[in-house]
Order: sequence, then structure tokens, then C-alpha cells
Amino acid sequence: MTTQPQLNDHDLELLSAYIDGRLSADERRTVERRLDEEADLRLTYEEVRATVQALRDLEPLRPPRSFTLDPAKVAVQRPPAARLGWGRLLQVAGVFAGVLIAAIGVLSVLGSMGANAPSMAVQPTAPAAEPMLAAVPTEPPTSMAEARESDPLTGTPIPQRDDSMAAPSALGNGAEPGAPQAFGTIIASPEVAALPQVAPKPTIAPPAISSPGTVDLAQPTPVAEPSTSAGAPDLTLLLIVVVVALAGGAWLWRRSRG
Amino acid sequence: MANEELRLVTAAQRGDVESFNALVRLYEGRVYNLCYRLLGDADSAADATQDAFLSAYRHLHAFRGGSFRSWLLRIATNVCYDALRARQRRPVVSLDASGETVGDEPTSLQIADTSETPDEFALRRELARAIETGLAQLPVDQRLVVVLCDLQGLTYEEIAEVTGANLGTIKSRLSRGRARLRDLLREEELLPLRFRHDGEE
Repeated sequence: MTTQPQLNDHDLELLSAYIDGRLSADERRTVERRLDEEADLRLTYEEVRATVQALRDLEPLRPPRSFTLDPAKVAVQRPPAARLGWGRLLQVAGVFAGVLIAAIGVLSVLGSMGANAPSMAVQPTAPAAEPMLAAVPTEPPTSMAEARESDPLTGTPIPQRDDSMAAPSALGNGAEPGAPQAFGTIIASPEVAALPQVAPKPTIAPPAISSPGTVDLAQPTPVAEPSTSAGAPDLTLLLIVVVVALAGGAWLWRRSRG
Repeated sequence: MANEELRLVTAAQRGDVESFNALVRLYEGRVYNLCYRLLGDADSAADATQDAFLSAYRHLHAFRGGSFRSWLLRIATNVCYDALRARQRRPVVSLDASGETVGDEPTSLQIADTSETPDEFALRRELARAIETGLAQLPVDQRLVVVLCDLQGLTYEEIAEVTGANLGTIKSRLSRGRARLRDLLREEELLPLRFRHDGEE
């Protein structure tokens, strides 16, 4: 039976690094000097070196099969970098356009709500609004909103009253104090009273007052309002077309890429 | 070679599966051997190898250059660690590493190649078996470093890339793992130099 030298961890680490040639010149000289002088250290070194050699002599195993990927199966799992093409860009653009449409919708609603505030502010100055009312029948309507407002005054038929009732009903209901008062001011004006057959159905008029058309009556420059209210639907329609086109393009692109 | 590998990686990042398969063919032996040495059985190693390549393909966009081999071996190492953790939660018995013995001979399903019967071959086979047994008994962090250094031939720096450990830790784990294997081989009297020292004494 022979002795079994057990070195400390530091010496084992030195021997391991010495075998791998990972010592500095000074460390290597020190280890080599100790190997000449210390039998236990030399025996351990030879055993560890034999162990490392046995490890390195271990024959590599042959893989039991090929591990290549099936293109048909991984096609749907294409790396994300490959998916960042036109299709992805079209999808992102479509989402962006959708968000833009929603934002325009919200802004238009907020705009119609904000339009009621000036009407309330104008309400105390009813005498100033009366000349405008007098001028209304002589001016041709420049927008649908203005036409709706002027219909009760001119007595002309109201072809799209059902549509106009739908949107403002939720915003310009009787809960707002300014709307009925403004309506009352309009009815009380002498010019309107001179037209007895104009307002046979007053229940239709209140919602129309809370619409943007009311602002036209109160604002000194009513010409600018019709241009903005007519532009928003056109822009929305354009964006819807863009969204549909982008979505279709993305779908076609992804389909062509398989 | 490095340029060709870079070209394949770039093409694979653009979704070219065939380029990635060229990389698979280049490294599947190395990855499989790493998985086998860490997991200890062929079926688990094959599954881990396949999972490693699939994971590498899915995360290829995250490869930002450097050594593709180290990056791939790191993925394989992580897959093996996951498998070992799952094995700890649900232990299974490996027929290869069962430790059951009949007499002095360990039982194994591996059939010896009977076409070669020299004594040197028998001794080498015995040594290889002892090494495999010893590797399986090492703590997994030591086993990984020993496999990467002595079986895969990686440098300390490459091992640091694969394991994420610093050089000092790698040196320590390597020396401890080698020392434990040395103890095992000495117990089984499989160190040739040991016999020579015995004879000298």
C-alpha cells in the first residue's frame, strides 16, 4: 500500500493550471522547483496529469441522429429578425392608423362638447345674437350642421334628421343648462315669432342647438367652422381606406412569404 | 471558416433554415457530446440537443456576434440544467448509471465491441467507463467545466463565456473536478502512473 498525498486546494489549482499552461513565468518556475523537491507534489501532479489525459482520450460519441431542423416545421417559427420585413411594417402602420382614427374620433367628440361652452357664454348677450338670427334665413347653409340649424327657421324639409339626432342626443341633452336657455332665447326673438309655421315641432330643435351649428349662430365669424367640420369625415374615410389597404398588404405579404 | 460561419449565421438570422442547418451539422456532435456528458444518458442527451438547436434558432436574433460556438454551448448548457432540475423534481433511474453491479462488474446496456479484444483496449474501455462514472458523480458545475475544458477543448476564456463564471471560479472548479476524478481512478487502480509508482516503491 502506498501513501496517498492530499494537497491543499491552492496547490491543486496550481498543478491544474500548470498542466494547462496557464501559469505566469514566475509561477511556473516556482511549481517546477517544488516538483523537483516535493515527492508528494510530484506524485499528485502525475496522477492529475494522467487523469486529464484519460479525459482527453475519451472518444467523442457519435450523435444517434441528425438534429437539423425541418424547414416546413420551423417556417411558422421564423426568427423574429426575419419577421421584421414589409409585412411587419405594414402591420405596425395599420395599427398606427387605427389609433389615429380613434384619436380623431375622440377629438371630434371633444370638439363638439367644447362647442357648447361658447353658446353658454353667449347666452347672456342674447340681443347680440338676434341680428345673427335675422341674417340666417338669407344665407345659404354651408354645411349639414348649419342646414339642420336653419331648417326650423326656413321651414324647409329636414331630410336627415334621424342621423343628426343620433350623435348629439348623448351630448346635448336637457342636463346642460345652457342649451335650453339658448333655445328659449331664439324662440323668444321677434323675428322668429313672426314665422308661426316654422317651428311646429319644438321637440326636434333642442338637440340641434347643442350641435356645432349653434356655435355658428353665436360666433362672429361662422365661415371657418364649416370647413373644419366637413374635413374631418373626409380624413377619417381616407384613414379607413389606408388601414384596409395596409392590412390587406400585410396579409398578402405574409402569405407570399409562406 | 470564421467568415463562412458568420455568413451562415447572418443568413440564418434572415430566416434561411438551410443555413442554420449547416450550422447544426457543424456543431451537432459537439453539442450532443456536451449534453451526454452532463445528463449521462443517450435519450436525454438527444432530446436536449434537439431542444438546444430549436432554442438557438428561435433566439438567433439575440446573437450579437462573438463566438457562435460559445453562444450555442451556453444554450445547450442551459437546456441541460433545465433537464437536470426537472430530473430532480421527478427522479428517473438511468440504466447506464444505475450503479448496480454483478460481482465486480457494473451492469450496463452498452455492448462491448467484441471484434477488438487486446488487453490495452480492455484497459482503455475500463478507464473510459470509470471516467464516465466519475463525471456523473461530480457536482454539475465542476462537471461542466471539466467537460468543456478536457473533453471539448475550450479555453478558460471560452468556458467563462459559456458558464458566465469568472476565470478564478473556473480554475477552482476545474482543479477540484480533476482532483475528484483522480481520487476515483486511484481507488479503482486505473492510473497507469500509479502502478509505476507502486512498482518503484
